[in-house]
Amino acid sequence: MKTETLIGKSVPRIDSIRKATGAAKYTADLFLSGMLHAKVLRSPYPHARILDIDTSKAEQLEGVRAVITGKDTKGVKWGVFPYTQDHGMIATDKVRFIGEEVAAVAAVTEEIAQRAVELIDVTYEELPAVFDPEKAMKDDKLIHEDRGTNINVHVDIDVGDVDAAFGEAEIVLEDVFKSAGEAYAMMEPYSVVADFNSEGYLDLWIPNAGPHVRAKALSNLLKMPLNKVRVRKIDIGGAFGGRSEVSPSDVVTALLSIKSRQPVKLVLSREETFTATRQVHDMIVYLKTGADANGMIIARDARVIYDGGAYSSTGPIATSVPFYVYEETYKHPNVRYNGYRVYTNKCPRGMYPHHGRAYQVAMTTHMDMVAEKLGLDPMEIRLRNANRSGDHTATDSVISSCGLSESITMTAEMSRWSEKRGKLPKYRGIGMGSMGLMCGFPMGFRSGATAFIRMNESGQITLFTGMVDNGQGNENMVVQITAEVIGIPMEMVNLVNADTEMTGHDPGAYSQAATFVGGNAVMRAAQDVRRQVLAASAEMMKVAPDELDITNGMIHLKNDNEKSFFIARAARYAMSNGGNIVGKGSYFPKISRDREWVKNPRGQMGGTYSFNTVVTEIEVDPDTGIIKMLDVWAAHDCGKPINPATVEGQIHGIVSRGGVATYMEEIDWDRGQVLNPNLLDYKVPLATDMPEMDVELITTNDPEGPFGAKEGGLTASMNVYKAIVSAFYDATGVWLKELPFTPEKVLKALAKKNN
Amino acid sequence: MGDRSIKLIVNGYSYNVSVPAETTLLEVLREELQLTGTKFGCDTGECGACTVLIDGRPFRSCMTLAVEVEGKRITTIEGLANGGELHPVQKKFVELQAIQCGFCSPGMILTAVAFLGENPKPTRQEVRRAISGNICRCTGYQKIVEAVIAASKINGGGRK
Amino acid sequence: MHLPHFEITEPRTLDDALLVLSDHEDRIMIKAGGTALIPAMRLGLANPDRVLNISTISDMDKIDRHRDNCISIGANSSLFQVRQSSIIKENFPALVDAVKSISSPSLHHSSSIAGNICQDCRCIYYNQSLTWRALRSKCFKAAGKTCHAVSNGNKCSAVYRGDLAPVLISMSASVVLASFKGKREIPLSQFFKSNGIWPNTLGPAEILTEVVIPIPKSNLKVTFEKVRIRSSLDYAIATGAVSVTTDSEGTCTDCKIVLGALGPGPIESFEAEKIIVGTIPDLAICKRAAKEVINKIHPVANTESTPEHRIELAEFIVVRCLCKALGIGGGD
Repeated sequence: MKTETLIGKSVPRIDSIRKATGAAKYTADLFLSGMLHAKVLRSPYPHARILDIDTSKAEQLEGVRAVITGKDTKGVKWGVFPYTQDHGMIATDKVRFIGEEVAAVAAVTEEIAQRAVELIDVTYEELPAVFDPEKAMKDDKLIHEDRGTNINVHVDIDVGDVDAAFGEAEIVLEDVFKSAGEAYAMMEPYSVVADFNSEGYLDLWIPNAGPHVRAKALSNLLKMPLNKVRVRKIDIGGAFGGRSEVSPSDVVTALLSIKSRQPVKLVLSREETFTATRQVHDMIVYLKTGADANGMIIARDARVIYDGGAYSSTGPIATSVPFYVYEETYKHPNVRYNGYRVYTNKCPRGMYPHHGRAYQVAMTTHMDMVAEKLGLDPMEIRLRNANRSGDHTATDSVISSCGLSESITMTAEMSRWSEKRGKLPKYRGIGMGSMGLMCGFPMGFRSGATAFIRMNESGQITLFTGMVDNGQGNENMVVQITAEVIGIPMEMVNLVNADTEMTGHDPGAYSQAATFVGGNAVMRAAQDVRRQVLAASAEMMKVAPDELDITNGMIHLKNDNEKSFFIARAARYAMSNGGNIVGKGSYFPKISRDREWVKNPRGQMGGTYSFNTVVTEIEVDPDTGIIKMLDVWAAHDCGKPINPATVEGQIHGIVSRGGVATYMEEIDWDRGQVLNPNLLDYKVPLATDMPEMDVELITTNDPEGPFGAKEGGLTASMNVYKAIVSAFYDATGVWLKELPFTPEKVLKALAKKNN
Repeated sequence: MGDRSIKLIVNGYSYNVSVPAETTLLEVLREELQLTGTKFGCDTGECGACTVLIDGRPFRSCMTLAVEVEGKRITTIEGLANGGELHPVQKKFVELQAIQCGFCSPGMILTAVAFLGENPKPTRQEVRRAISGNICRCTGYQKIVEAVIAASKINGGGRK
Repeated sequence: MHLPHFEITEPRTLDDALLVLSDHEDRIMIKAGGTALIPAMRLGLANPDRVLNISTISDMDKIDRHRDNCISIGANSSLFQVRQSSIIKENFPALVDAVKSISSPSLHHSSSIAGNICQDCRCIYYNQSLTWRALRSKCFKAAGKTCHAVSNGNKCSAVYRGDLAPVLISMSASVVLASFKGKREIPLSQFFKSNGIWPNTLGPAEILTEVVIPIPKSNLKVTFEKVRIRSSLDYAIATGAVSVTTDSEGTCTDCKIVLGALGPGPIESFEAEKIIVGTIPDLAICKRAAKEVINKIHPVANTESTPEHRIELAEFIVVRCLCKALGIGGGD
């Protein structure tokens, strides 16, 4: 086996020079000739029947090229699953949230489009609205009449004998936990450019987390053949789970371009990005926990309510994932989980890196409460309940490689845990959060990926992959893998990616599958190329292929670097004897094919699992109620880091989004209207809010992952807020149960304790 | 009164543009000059993505009127590299992976360049404060702070 | 989207500016750094026919000694200039603290001292886009008849969130207001009228040209505190400043306690000041004064934090500022 030269090195990312010089092009940066500008008319009501839409005045305005309403759609409703198709993308009969798309205009300037939108007359009949999911569950105001209920999804999992286990439990706890939803707040406002050309092709540039999935959704919604809908490569300013699904803006812009036969650009304002694109679920968790005298959690009964907003979005997945990430981490012998995703009159809610924060906080807090009652160190109770390699989860997944215990002990050492927990001065505390996470989850035939590679006569190669980069470094990752496998410098690899016309399928940059699934396919394509190069070279040199090696683009006999030649000669030899060297690689994870989120929640969930622990030390200001993270230590089992600095960067970002968010971030509502739809009132953490972070990467070399790699960073986001909850207790002796822990909640809790 | 004809000096080149008074510098840069490296992030001065340098100092181009900067020296991210050579701040952002999605990077880099001009040998805490008006959702700022500190150690880190 | 159309005047001299202002009183608005006016126009909160860009007036950004015992800060001085000025650092360290706490350092180049003082009141129901506000009836601040922050409220409850006014008032600063008719200098405390709809008394034909601060005697101490959610960029959810003069015995001979971000203007509590003056203050007296301050503030639910929380913060700020100024332990 040749020594790895690139894997595990923090080489600068290939996308960074264009981003550092302003050359990177994001969707809003595109200017096509004849391009029109779009504006959307949105619902001013949280719930109303549309009686009439009159677009005649808008159509007559000079400069207007197309006006569309729900009538221009093909009547197809969007849903990730056949049983969740409830979202018409442009409202027809009813509007179900403030900001919902009602009509749209394309005009020669943005100002004319805006004026035209204001000229559209819509007659509404206001309907009673419901914003509280628990009230919505009573079904007296139906948001989708045809469904007969406001319960959008019910996930029911019952494993073991929960009631008997509670009967045997030494300690039984019951509490209610809540969390407010956050905003993704990616720095790039949502934008779409659509170009429908005379040959009937629709080209689209969209911030997305999976171009192939997006193209298929649009092909269904527009009733166009899939080969006519082409999602093209574009730089993307962040996703965080918020750009995985097709968006109404995509449909609106596409329809305007089809109708006007001109390219159309839609750039949402920051406010629209906050109020009319999917954001994060509010949650309520009713949890009962039973533990034995050794601190083993033997019973759990959870009733979890997700405020889903007006449409299904990723409903069944969103209602399930919090349960799975817990069972992938800790033993769960007897568990009953009832997850309800409920329709309310709010913009639909989607998935976020730490989706389900109230659930994880509930589970961890109860674990810490048990530890407290038994006089156990919180670290110890985590280790006792932790999954280990080879363990089975409650719903029958096998954990192949597991560095959970290592991550716990490593962060304990890094943070000098045992010197600090319970021993820090008043209002200072240290806490720990641990979590495992599946790398990829079943998405039917979409769960796998295919990549191609072509070599030119100069020995340079072009890699074609559906892999998209939202900022996490995926482009660099696939180039680094390719160069390593073939044995060429990264500069010899051109990348064509995230373009549905030119690349093979890829599941997308969500579900933590990019490296594990997409990277695996790329690795196999590169292995195919390498095999062909070596075969051609062996023929030329009249030796066996396994006597040869490739180093830095030079082909040579193993153990003999003297006699070598440049890889281009092999490429030309192959061209003279059959054709270009072209490699192909596919990977499909070893997951259960008949698992279904609602109907059959059993079987292998992910191809592998990554693990992470975060420890944080915090300070609580008893005068202002403001929490500050002082230090963060994280240890992450990512299998094997392809590019360590990239993985570190993922964890750093997550500490801000998952951690500081614990005490700052929430979307504020008033009767269905977002009160803080801007970057001043919504509190995205700033550089001065962030602590210095110390990140260690644990190598467990996953047997399936490319070079042993698994997911690279997301897991931390499930941990940092749990660490803060635990640290807050250490600092104050109070369990906070409602996220975010804003200063006023902190002061109230402290006052209650002191009285 | 109609449009005003003004002369802008952007990245060393002069441009004559004709704009109404309400046109912001951000709009001129992106729409007239097609210098799209300067980003539209919020349009209300909250995020810092549209930061450019005016006579070496950071300004948010979404809150700056084009007519106000007539004759002033404007540097956008496209004009920061000297010929083919990256500015030390750009170089360190690339080397140390201070860039993820890249959307905040132009404004962040230019803010850092101006700051190093004011304070060539800053502490990490000073760097954090200096860039605290530029929002980054990806990096948690750690590698950005590292890159600015590293740039400050290169000769000419404060060059503008 | 482009801003709504307006004309712009860029005067070179104050006289030119005042002339234009008196000609266009109704539909003209003054722009200094632009960090307030341009976002306000973007949101449809300001819609002038003409913008008077006073930042082009030369000589209005000087910081220097004025008359005998005062420092004058020209209206156009940027917050950057103020915090870098050696005269300011030497004489008014609390003012430097306050400036440093405003928005974020990179914005200090564009924000001017006068712009900061003259900023409008803010409300989470008002500082929103036209589309956002169109979903509700017009509030008092938008010339309507309701308040969305206070149910059945009968007046505007928008909050004055400037950080400089409280500290400047505590230092007995005054402002010079120029009009075509001449100049008048008034104490800054009288500049504010405590009205959410528009917080100050600047006349339609007037321009604030200077801030004048008396150079403090050595026995005067000024302290400043601000609480905001994030550690930068944000407006205060409560802010305040205290000045105290003590004699050689330690008896307080003069005291000013001024709070901000808790009502429609800076709030000075004369009753609380009376508790301090004439005593040799200790922690208990400071706490008593802070309790008194609470009687004068009535925050409502229109910022990032709750009224109850902001009252607690006001009390904390007063105690902390007094203790710091008087060198009393226990305030921290």
